[in-house]
Amino acid sequence: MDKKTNWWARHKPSTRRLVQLYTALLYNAHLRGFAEGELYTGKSKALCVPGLNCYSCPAAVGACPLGALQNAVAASASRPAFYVVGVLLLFGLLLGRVICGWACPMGLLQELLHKLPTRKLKKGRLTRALSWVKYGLLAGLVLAVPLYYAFRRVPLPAFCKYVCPAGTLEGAVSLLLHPANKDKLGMLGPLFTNKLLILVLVLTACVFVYRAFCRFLCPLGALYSLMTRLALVGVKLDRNRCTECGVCRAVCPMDIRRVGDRECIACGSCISKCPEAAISFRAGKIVLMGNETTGSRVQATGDAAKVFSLRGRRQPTGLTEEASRRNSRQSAANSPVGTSIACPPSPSRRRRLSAWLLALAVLAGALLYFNRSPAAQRPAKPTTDTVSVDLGCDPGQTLPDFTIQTLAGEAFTLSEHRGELVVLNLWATWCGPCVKELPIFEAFSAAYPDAFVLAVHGPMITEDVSAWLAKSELSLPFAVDTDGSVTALLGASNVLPHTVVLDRSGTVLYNAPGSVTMELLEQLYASTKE
Amino acid sequence: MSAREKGRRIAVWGLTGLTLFLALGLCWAILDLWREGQALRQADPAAVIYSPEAVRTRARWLAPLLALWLAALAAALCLGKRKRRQSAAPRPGAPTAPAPEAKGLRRLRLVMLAAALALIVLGVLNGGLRDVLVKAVNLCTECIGLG
Repeated sequence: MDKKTNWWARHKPSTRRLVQLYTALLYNAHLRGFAEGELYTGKSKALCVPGLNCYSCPAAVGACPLGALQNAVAASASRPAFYVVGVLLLFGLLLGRVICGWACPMGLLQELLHKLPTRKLKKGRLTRALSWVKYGLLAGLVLAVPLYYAFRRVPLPAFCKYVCPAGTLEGAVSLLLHPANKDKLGMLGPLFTNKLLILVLVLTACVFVYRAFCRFLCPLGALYSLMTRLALVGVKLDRNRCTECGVCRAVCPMDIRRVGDRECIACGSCISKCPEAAISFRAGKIVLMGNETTGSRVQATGDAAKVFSLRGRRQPTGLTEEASRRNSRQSAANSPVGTSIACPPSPSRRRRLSAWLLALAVLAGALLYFNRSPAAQRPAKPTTDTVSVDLGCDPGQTLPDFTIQTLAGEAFTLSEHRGELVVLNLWATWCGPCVKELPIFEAFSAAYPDAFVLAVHGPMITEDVSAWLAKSELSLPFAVDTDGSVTALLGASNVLPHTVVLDRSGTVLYNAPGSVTMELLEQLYASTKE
Repeated sequence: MSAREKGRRIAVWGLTGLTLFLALGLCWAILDLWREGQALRQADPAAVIYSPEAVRTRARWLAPLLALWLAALAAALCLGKRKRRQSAAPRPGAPTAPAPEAKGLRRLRLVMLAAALALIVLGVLNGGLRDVLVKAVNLCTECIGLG
């Protein structure tokens, strides 16, 4: 029994680990998404979560702040990125890099990988130098490249596209593992290969280097680190107590130069190690962890009674700074370095328990809510005629007739184009691959006059499509599927671009999401000639 | 050094080597898939590079390595953790105390908080909130590397 208790004492998860697990589950509360292989499409996705969590993960119920920032920068030619910048500023000012240490699912994954019992690379000059790489990625791939392409009217979230391992793992891999997404396998090309290689390298690096991605590559961490000094919550050092012994820096697994600097993720590992009890985890004046008598500002104002702790002890009033320091020094002197005698008093179990119960109630509510959302929120499934099995949107079936108004004011009716090869492309102004693909359809239409190409903008509109097209040099016929009926008829879901090619009799030759090439279109054209 | 400690060391080094080997194996499998897929695509532009059959073939090759890796992991975990040092040696003269807080830091924080809230309100009004929703509810194929 005693052995078991000891084992539990050594292996029980820390409060930080529990908070990390909690936030990871809260960000990804739509667990049904894994079973269905589909994204959550509810309105909560308009809100950014603080940590790095890909919004293309089937379970994600919020937006990734880094992805949202890149897309907002990419759309800044038409709309300034006020919302995302404001949200990031708010997160940074309130929590700073506490988010990295406590509320980032990618950070949790990296820490778990680092727990594998292998040889480890210690921090040093190399890791310190590499920690600057993330600032380069922030400036280059998150801000400069999307901004450059924004003025070329091509949305390009460069970090997401070329680097982000969270997107590859949470989005691509978890979606592709589901049998319902077999049709997306055809989309995979050089980009996926590169990103998969990056994912393998990053995950391997995390086994040997503590938080390798977070320390060297994460632009979100870089962004929050710029606001660390202003952050309300974080690990704070009482410089009146600090003797500059360097223990905090030595025990820190990150590349810090001093407690609470840009590399500090507020994990709190230094709090119990400080022989002077000079470090505490604070939210403004409230001490969340560490020695409650620290904090010269509070004591200097004689307002020590206001110091509360999550651990539930109220400080005796009238304790002078000097007395408190003397008490602390005495206890530190009586205890060996590395023990926590000078640190926190025993916690109030009742207060902690009620905090956890409240948090669990919120999580249970979120899980219930996000996993019983109405079926109407899900993307429309392809409609098939129940009378005739030949009618439908799968290859070999005849696509049901439909009419849609083009932006030129003419009506397009599918049945009127029998005898022509018809190419229907679903696109959107905010979709980078769609915009890059349009010139291919333009060239195909020009090269094969007996083929008819119609580009249909999806139902989700973020800007005036006519105004957008007026600035482009495209002469294709365009239409806007305002009610989503054509999208549903073509069997397309929430994946753009999507292309459907019909032969001269109206039979579906090709129906798949993802970009097409000129060679593919020519091959399909040639097959109808035979 | 005790026999247990020796065993633990061997398991840790073995796991280190196997982890690197597994990572190299994965990279090789990805590149091999890509090389084969490229050849297929030249013949047929609609060919699927990452077909389930092709992935399964590579997975079969990697399965013994993965089994070995799992065995090494189990051994390393069973042999227990290395004893941690009491405390890492501090570097003499290392600067640990932060620079003195700039005057008006609290005021700056308040001003910036107000600016953040104002930006959020402006963003909601100018349609930024809807933009985020549109991108988040649609599968960003480019973002996750699908193409």
